[in-house]
Amino acid sequence: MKVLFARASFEEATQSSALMLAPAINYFVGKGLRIDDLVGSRATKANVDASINSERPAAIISNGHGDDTRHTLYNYEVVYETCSCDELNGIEIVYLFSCLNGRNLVPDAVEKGAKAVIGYNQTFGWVQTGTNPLTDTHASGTAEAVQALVKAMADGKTAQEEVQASTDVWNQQIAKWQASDDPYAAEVVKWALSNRDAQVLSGDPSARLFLPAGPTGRVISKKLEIVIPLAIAVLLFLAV
Amino acid sequence: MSYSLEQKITNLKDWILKHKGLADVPFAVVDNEPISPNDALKMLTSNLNVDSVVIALETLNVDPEEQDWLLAEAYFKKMAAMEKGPRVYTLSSPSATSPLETLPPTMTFQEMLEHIRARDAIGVQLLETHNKLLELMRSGFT
Repeated sequence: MKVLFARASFEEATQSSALMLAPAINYFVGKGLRIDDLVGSRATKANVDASINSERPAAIISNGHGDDTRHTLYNYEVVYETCSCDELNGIEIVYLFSCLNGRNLVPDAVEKGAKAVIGYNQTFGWVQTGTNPLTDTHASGTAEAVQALVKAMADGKTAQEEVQASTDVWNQQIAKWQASDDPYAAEVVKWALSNRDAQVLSGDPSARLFLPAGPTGRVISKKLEIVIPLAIAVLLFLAV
Repeated sequence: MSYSLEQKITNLKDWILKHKGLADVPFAVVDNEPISPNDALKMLTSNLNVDSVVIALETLNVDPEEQDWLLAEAYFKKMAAMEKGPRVYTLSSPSATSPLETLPPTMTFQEMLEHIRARDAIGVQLLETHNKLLELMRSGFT
């Protein structure tokens, strides 16, 4: 099962947001999933299309800038746009980690055939002091909330559960920073509130990559999810 | 329900203790001056403008739009005055590449203050986000 990451990283904001996703990629690899990671100047429409056409990914996690109708990657190149986002047809879960896509592009992508799409209907913002958001005092909580969503996907959680996993981290961050005496605490709280409330899920809330690990620790693919009940039904029929 | 002044002071102290990160954020306007929870507590415990502070605590949202602009400006002014602070990052497509008037990828507190003062399209978006903070604060006062 392939998962496509596209991480534009070409100016300060996308350099940080691309880094926020890095630990999640390792998490997917640790789960035995195959990753196609288009990062930096490789995050172009041509490369995204080539990856989708060579083998349709089960999920796409795409990080760049956005507005209400367009999602952009390297150097603001438009990759998905309302009315022409057929590329996402048949993808189980798409996560558009950018601003404002939740207003029009996210529901439009579901109309074009994506099973579930997650995005944000407001500006996605965060407070950052240094260059690495993973270790930054003010930005690390934002990275945690984003990773919670993506890691839940790698754990076989449903799209609804993925959003909830992120919401739980946002709520922890809001509580933590309200009680902090850091001079920038209020600004961190403000963006955590805004990002939490801006999360949008369109399509099937029960969509997921695979059933979570069973007692044997093996993940069950979406195909087996259908085949196993059918096989049981056939066996029962034969037994009768 | 209306509490006594002592009870209001106790409630405000409790709130500040639990919300240290928000205690200096201006949330109400008293005599045309934005005040934070810490300012309100000082005024109540010093018997300064007590009636006005109590009214501000009880009757917020009388003129919400103008009041919220004043509060946002006071907040960003305070933040911009601090040295070498962090910046705010966003994932909006910049206005040059988008039909929308969007927030730029990075902003200093001084730049945000200027947009709030100009009350332009970016200032309006910053105000909407700032109001989430004020809603959270206002929901906690009784």
